[in-house]
Amino acid sequence: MKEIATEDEVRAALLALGDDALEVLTLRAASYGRLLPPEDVDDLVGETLRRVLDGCRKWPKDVPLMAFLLQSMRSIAWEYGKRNRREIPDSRIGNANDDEEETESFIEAQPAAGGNPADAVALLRFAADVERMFGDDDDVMAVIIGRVEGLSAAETRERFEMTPQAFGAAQKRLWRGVVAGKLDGWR
Amino acid sequence: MKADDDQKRFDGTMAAVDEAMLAATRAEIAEGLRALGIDPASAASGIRTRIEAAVRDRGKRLMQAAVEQVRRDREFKVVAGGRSDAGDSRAKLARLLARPGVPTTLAARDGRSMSDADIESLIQDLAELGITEDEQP
Repeated sequence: MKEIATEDEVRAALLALGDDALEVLTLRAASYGRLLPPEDVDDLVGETLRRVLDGCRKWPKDVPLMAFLLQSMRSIAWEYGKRNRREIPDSRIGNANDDEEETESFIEAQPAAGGNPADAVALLRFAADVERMFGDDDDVMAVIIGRVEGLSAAETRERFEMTPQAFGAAQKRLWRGVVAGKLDGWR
Repeated sequence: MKADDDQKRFDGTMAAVDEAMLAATRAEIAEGLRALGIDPASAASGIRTRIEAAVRDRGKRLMQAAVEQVRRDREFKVVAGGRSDAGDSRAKLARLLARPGVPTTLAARDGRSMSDADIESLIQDLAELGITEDEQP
Protein backbone atom coordinates (compact mmCIF):
# COMPACT_ATOMS: atom_id res chain seq x y z
CA MET A 1 0.00 0.00 0.00
CA LYS A 2 1.29 3.42 -0.93
CA GLU A 3 2.32 5.71 1.88
CA ILE A 4 0.39 8.96 1.84
CA ALA A 5 1.94 12.20 3.07
CA THR A 6 0.41 13.76 6.16
CA GLU A 7 -1.03 17.24 6.06
CA ASP A 8 2.00 18.62 7.89
CA GLU A 9 4.30 16.96 5.36
CA VAL A 10 2.35 18.37 2.43
CA ARG A 11 2.41 21.85 3.92
CA ALA A 12 6.11 21.71 4.68
CA ALA A 13 6.94 20.38 1.22
CA LEU A 14 4.91 23.08 -0.50
CA LEU A 15 6.51 25.82 1.53
CA ALA A 16 9.95 24.38 0.81
CA LEU A 17 9.58 24.41 -2.99
CA GLY A 18 12.49 26.26 -4.56
CA ASP A 19 12.30 29.10 -7.03
CA ASP A 20 13.05 26.81 -9.95
CA ALA A 21 10.08 24.59 -9.12
CA LEU A 22 7.84 27.60 -8.56
CA GLU A 23 8.82 28.99 -11.95
CA VAL A 24 7.77 25.71 -13.58
CA LEU A 25 4.45 25.85 -11.71
CA THR A 26 3.92 29.41 -12.87
CA LEU A 27 4.65 28.53 -16.48
CA ARG A 28 2.41 25.49 -16.31
CA ALA A 29 -0.48 27.40 -14.81
CA ALA A 30 -0.06 30.25 -17.27
CA SER A 31 0.01 27.91 -20.23
CA TYR A 32 -3.44 26.67 -19.24
CA GLY A 33 -4.43 30.20 -20.15
CA ARG A 34 -4.32 29.02 -23.77
CA LEU A 35 -7.18 26.68 -22.98
CA LEU A 36 -9.25 28.14 -20.17
CA PRO A 37 -10.82 31.52 -19.40
CA PRO A 38 -8.58 33.75 -17.22
CA GLU A 39 -10.78 33.32 -14.15
CA ASP A 40 -10.48 29.55 -14.45
CA VAL A 41 -6.71 29.74 -14.69
CA ASP A 42 -6.60 31.76 -11.50
CA ASP A 43 -8.96 29.32 -9.80
CA LEU A 44 -6.96 26.39 -11.09
CA VAL A 45 -3.94 27.30 -9.00
CA GLY A 46 -5.95 28.07 -5.88
CA GLU A 47 -8.12 24.99 -6.20
CA THR A 48 -5.10 22.75 -6.75
CA LEU A 49 -3.43 24.10 -3.62
CA ARG A 50 -6.64 23.83 -1.62
CA ARG A 51 -7.30 20.22 -2.56
CA VAL A 52 -3.71 19.21 -1.96
CA LEU A 53 -3.56 20.95 1.41
CA ASP A 54 -6.86 19.67 2.73
CA GLY A 55 -6.21 16.11 1.59
CA CYS A 56 -8.92 15.92 -1.08
CA ARG A 57 -6.05 14.91 -3.31
CA LYS A 58 -3.68 12.63 -1.47
CA TRP A 59 0.03 12.82 -2.17
CA PRO A 60 1.65 9.37 -2.42
CA LYS A 61 5.11 9.87 -0.97
CA ASP A 62 6.79 7.93 -3.75
CA VAL A 63 5.61 10.49 -6.32
CA PRO A 64 7.67 13.69 -6.62
CA LEU A 65 5.70 16.66 -5.33
CA MET A 66 5.94 18.58 -8.59
CA ALA A 67 4.63 15.64 -10.60
CA PHE A 68 1.79 15.29 -8.11
CA LEU A 69 0.91 19.00 -8.29
CA LEU A 70 0.90 19.00 -12.08
CA GLN A 71 -1.19 15.84 -12.11
CA SER A 72 -3.69 17.48 -9.76
CA MET A 73 -3.78 20.55 -11.97
CA ARG A 74 -4.54 18.41 -15.03
CA SER A 75 -7.39 16.68 -13.30
CA ILE A 76 -8.97 19.91 -12.09
CA ALA A 77 -8.47 21.56 -15.49
CA TRP A 78 -10.36 18.69 -17.08
CA GLU A 79 -13.23 19.25 -14.63
CA TYR A 80 -13.29 22.92 -15.62
CA GLY A 81 -13.30 22.03 -19.30
CA LYS A 82 -16.23 19.69 -18.82
CA ARG A 83 -18.10 22.25 -16.76
CA ASN A 84 -17.51 24.96 -19.35
CA ARG A 85 -18.80 22.71 -22.09
CA ARG A 86 -21.97 22.03 -20.11
CA GLU A 87 -22.50 25.74 -19.58
CA ILE A 88 -22.68 26.66 -23.25
CA PRO A 89 -25.53 25.67 -25.54
CA ASP A 90 -24.64 22.90 -27.98
CA SER A 91 -25.67 25.21 -30.79
CA ARG A 92 -22.79 27.51 -29.90
CA ILE A 93 -20.28 24.76 -30.38
CA GLY A 94 -21.86 23.73 -33.64
CA ASN A 95 -24.06 20.83 -32.67
CA ALA A 96 -27.75 21.10 -31.99
CA ASN A 97 -27.93 17.46 -31.01
CA ASP A 98 -28.38 17.00 -27.30
CA ASP A 99 -26.70 13.64 -27.25
CA GLU A 100 -23.61 13.90 -25.04
CA GLU A 101 -21.53 11.38 -26.94
CA GLU A 102 -22.26 12.83 -30.35
CA THR A 103 -21.53 16.33 -29.09
CA GLU A 104 -18.19 15.27 -27.73
CA SER A 105 -17.38 13.50 -30.97
CA PHE A 106 -18.12 16.71 -32.79
CA ILE A 107 -15.75 18.61 -30.57
CA GLU A 108 -13.01 16.19 -31.41
CA ALA A 109 -13.77 15.99 -35.10
CA GLN A 110 -14.25 19.71 -35.74
CA PRO A 111 -11.73 21.32 -33.45
CA ALA A 112 -10.84 24.47 -35.26
CA ALA A 113 -14.00 25.25 -37.13
CA GLY A 114 -14.77 28.92 -36.88
CA GLY A 115 -12.36 29.56 -34.05
CA ASN A 116 -15.00 31.19 -31.94
CA PRO A 117 -16.71 30.20 -29.65
CA ALA A 118 -14.42 27.18 -29.74
CA ASP A 119 -12.57 28.75 -26.78
CA ALA A 120 -15.16 27.29 -24.49
CA VAL A 121 -14.13 23.78 -25.42
CA ALA A 122 -10.48 24.36 -26.26
CA LEU A 123 -9.33 22.34 -23.29
CA LEU A 124 -11.44 19.34 -24.25
CA ARG A 125 -9.92 19.44 -27.73
CA PHE A 126 -6.40 19.87 -26.45
CA ALA A 127 -5.17 16.39 -27.34
CA ALA A 128 -6.59 16.56 -30.85
CA ASP A 129 -5.13 20.03 -31.40
CA VAL A 130 -1.69 18.98 -30.20
CA GLU A 131 -1.77 15.92 -32.42
CA ARG A 132 -2.65 18.13 -35.34
CA MET A 133 0.10 20.59 -34.46
CA PHE A 134 2.74 17.86 -34.29
CA GLY A 135 1.24 15.39 -36.72
CA ASP A 136 4.34 15.54 -38.95
CA ASP A 137 6.82 15.26 -36.09
CA ASP A 138 7.24 11.54 -35.41
CA ASP A 139 9.42 12.03 -32.37
CA VAL A 140 6.99 14.37 -30.62
CA MET A 141 4.14 12.05 -31.46
CA ALA A 142 6.14 9.20 -29.95
CA VAL A 143 6.56 11.17 -26.72
CA ILE A 144 2.81 11.79 -26.61
CA ILE A 145 1.73 8.29 -27.58
CA GLY A 146 4.11 6.76 -25.08
CA ARG A 147 2.67 8.86 -22.27
CA VAL A 148 -0.95 8.27 -23.28
CA GLU A 149 -0.22 4.55 -23.19
CA GLY A 150 1.38 4.86 -19.78
CA LEU A 151 4.93 4.06 -20.84
CA SER A 152 7.93 5.43 -19.01
CA ALA A 153 10.41 7.59 -20.90
CA ALA A 154 12.78 4.65 -21.20
CA GLU A 155 10.03 2.37 -22.49
CA THR A 156 8.95 5.00 -25.01
CA ARG A 157 12.51 5.44 -26.27
CA GLU A 158 12.90 1.70 -26.62
CA ARG A 159 9.59 1.18 -28.37
CA PHE A 160 10.13 4.01 -30.84
CA GLU A 161 13.89 3.46 -31.12
CA MET A 162 14.77 6.95 -30.00
CA THR A 163 18.05 8.14 -28.56
CA PRO A 164 17.87 10.05 -25.28
CA GLN A 165 18.93 13.15 -27.22
CA ALA A 166 16.12 12.77 -29.74
CA PHE A 167 13.65 12.16 -26.92
CA GLY A 168 14.82 15.26 -25.03
CA ALA A 169 14.71 17.40 -28.17
CA ALA A 170 11.17 16.18 -28.90
CA GLN A 171 10.09 17.05 -25.35
CA LYS A 172 11.40 20.58 -25.87
CA ARG A 173 9.55 21.00 -29.14
CA LEU A 174 6.40 19.73 -27.46
CA TRP A 175 6.25 22.09 -24.51
CA ARG A 176 7.53 25.07 -26.47
CA GLY A 177 4.92 24.42 -29.12
CA VAL A 178 2.16 24.25 -26.54
CA VAL A 179 3.32 27.46 -24.85
CA ALA A 180 3.64 29.28 -28.16
CA GLY A 181 0.72 27.55 -29.87
CA LYS A 182 -1.97 29.71 -31.34
CA LEU A 183 -4.42 27.27 -32.80
CA ASP A 184 -7.96 28.40 -33.39
CA GLY A 185 -9.68 28.58 -30.06
CA TRP A 186 -6.43 28.83 -28.14
CA ARG A 187 -5.90 32.16 -26.51
CA MET B 1 -16.51 4.60 -22.74
CA LYS B 2 -15.73 7.51 -24.98
CA ALA B 3 -15.70 10.10 -22.20
CA ASP B 4 -13.11 8.01 -20.34
CA ASP B 5 -11.04 7.67 -23.50
CA ASP B 6 -11.18 11.43 -24.04
CA GLN B 7 -10.00 12.08 -20.52
CA LYS B 8 -7.25 9.49 -20.80
CA ARG B 9 -6.07 11.05 -24.03
CA PHE B 10 -6.18 14.54 -22.54
CA ASP B 11 -4.40 13.42 -19.39
CA GLY B 12 -1.71 11.54 -21.29
CA THR B 13 -1.06 14.39 -23.71
CA MET B 14 -1.01 16.97 -20.95
CA ALA B 15 1.22 14.72 -18.84
CA ALA B 16 3.68 14.54 -21.74
CA VAL B 17 3.77 18.35 -21.76
CA ASP B 18 4.14 18.47 -17.97
CA GLU B 19 7.01 16.02 -17.99
CA ALA B 20 8.66 17.88 -20.84
CA MET B 21 8.51 21.08 -18.79
CA LEU B 22 9.89 19.32 -15.75
CA ALA B 23 12.82 18.17 -17.88
CA ALA B 24 13.55 21.71 -19.10
CA THR B 25 16.40 23.79 -17.76
CA ARG B 26 15.68 26.85 -15.65
CA ALA B 27 16.84 29.08 -18.51
CA GLU B 28 14.40 27.38 -20.86
CA ILE B 29 11.57 27.83 -18.38
CA ALA B 30 12.47 31.51 -18.09
CA GLU B 31 12.28 31.74 -21.86
CA GLY B 32 8.82 30.14 -21.78
CA LEU B 33 7.66 32.57 -19.11
CA ARG B 34 8.83 35.51 -21.17
CA ALA B 35 6.95 34.09 -24.18
CA LEU B 36 3.78 34.36 -22.10
CA GLY B 37 4.64 37.88 -20.98
CA ILE B 38 5.64 36.87 -17.45
CA ASP B 39 8.75 38.29 -15.82
CA PRO B 40 10.78 35.26 -14.71
CA ALA B 41 12.21 37.25 -11.81
CA SER B 42 8.81 37.74 -10.23
CA ALA B 43 7.27 34.38 -11.18
CA ALA B 44 8.48 32.47 -8.15
CA SER B 45 7.52 35.12 -5.62
CA GLY B 46 4.03 35.39 -7.07
CA ILE B 47 3.21 31.73 -6.67
CA ARG B 48 5.01 31.49 -3.33
CA THR B 49 2.66 34.17 -2.05
CA ARG B 50 -0.28 32.08 -3.22
CA ILE B 51 1.04 28.97 -1.51
CA GLU B 52 1.54 30.86 1.75
CA ALA B 53 -1.96 32.29 1.49
CA ALA B 54 -3.39 28.82 0.85
CA VAL B 55 -1.56 27.45 3.88
CA ARG B 56 -2.90 30.28 6.07
CA ASP B 57 -6.38 29.75 4.70
CA ARG B 58 -6.22 26.06 5.49
CA GLY B 59 -5.09 26.90 9.04
CA LYS B 60 -8.04 29.24 9.49
CA ARG B 61 -10.49 26.63 8.25
CA LEU B 62 -9.02 24.05 10.60
CA MET B 63 -9.26 26.48 13.47
CA GLN B 64 -12.88 27.30 12.68
CA ALA B 65 -13.69 23.62 12.48
CA ALA B 66 -11.92 22.98 15.80
CA VAL B 67 -13.76 25.82 17.48
CA GLU B 68 -17.08 24.57 16.14
CA GLN B 69 -16.32 21.06 17.28
CA VAL B 70 -15.42 22.17 20.78
CA ARG B 71 -18.52 24.34 20.90
CA ARG B 72 -20.67 21.36 19.97
CA ASP B 73 -18.87 19.14 22.45
CA ARG B 74 -19.44 21.63 25.25
CA GLU B 75 -23.17 21.28 24.89
CA PHE B 76 -22.75 17.80 26.32
CA LYS B 77 -20.21 18.53 28.98
CA VAL B 78 -20.24 20.12 32.38
CA VAL B 79 -17.24 22.36 32.55
CA ALA B 80 -15.68 22.36 35.98
CA GLY B 81 -14.51 25.63 37.55
CA GLY B 82 -15.55 29.21 36.93
CA ARG B 83 -14.90 31.29 33.87
CA SER B 84 -11.75 33.31 34.00
CA ASP B 85 -11.91 36.89 32.86
CA ALA B 86 -11.23 37.73 29.21
CA GLY B 87 -7.81 39.35 29.73
CA ASP B 88 -6.53 36.40 31.74
CA SER B 89 -7.82 33.97 29.15
CA ARG B 90 -6.05 35.70 26.29
CA ALA B 91 -2.80 35.76 28.23
CA LYS B 92 -3.25 32.12 29.14
CA LEU B 93 -3.92 31.20 25.49
CA ALA B 94 -0.82 33.07 24.38
CA ARG B 95 1.26 31.14 26.92
CA LEU B 96 -0.24 27.83 25.86
CA LEU B 97 0.28 28.50 22.15
CA ALA B 98 3.91 29.32 22.82
CA ARG B 99 4.50 25.90 24.32
CA PRO B 100 6.33 23.22 22.37
CA GLY B 101 4.17 20.56 20.75
CA VAL B 102 1.32 22.86 19.83
CA PRO B 103 0.17 22.02 16.28
CA THR B 104 1.48 24.64 13.87
CA THR B 105 -1.99 25.45 12.59
CA LEU B 106 -3.05 26.33 16.13
CA ALA B 107 0.14 28.14 17.02
CA ALA B 108 -0.35 30.39 13.99
CA ARG B 109 -3.29 31.99 15.82
CA ASP B 110 -2.50 34.58 18.40
CA GLY B 111 -6.03 35.01 19.70
CA ARG B 112 -6.30 38.69 18.90
CA SER B 113 -9.00 38.20 16.27
CA MET B 114 -10.99 35.69 18.34
CA SER B 115 -14.00 36.27 20.52
CA ASP B 116 -13.86 35.57 24.27
CA ALA B 117 -15.96 32.46 23.74
CA ASP B 118 -13.56 31.25 21.04
CA ILE B 119 -10.62 31.82 23.37
CA GLU B 120 -12.27 29.71 26.06
CA SER B 121 -13.11 27.03 23.55
CA LEU B 122 -9.59 26.89 22.21
CA ILE B 123 -8.11 26.66 25.72
CA GLN B 124 -10.39 23.73 26.37
CA ASP B 125 -9.49 22.23 23.01
CA LEU B 126 -5.79 22.48 23.88
CA ALA B 127 -6.48 20.89 27.25
CA GLU B 128 -8.03 17.93 25.48
CA LEU B 129 -4.81 17.65 23.53
CA GLY B 130 -2.96 17.55 26.84
CA ILE B 131 -1.61 21.08 26.50
CA THR B 132 -2.25 22.82 29.81
CA GLU B 133 -0.30 25.04 32.16
CA ASP B 134 -0.23 22.15 34.61
CA GLU B 135 1.98 20.17 32.24
CA GLN B 136 5.70 20.73 31.95
CA PRO B 137 6.60 21.99 28.44
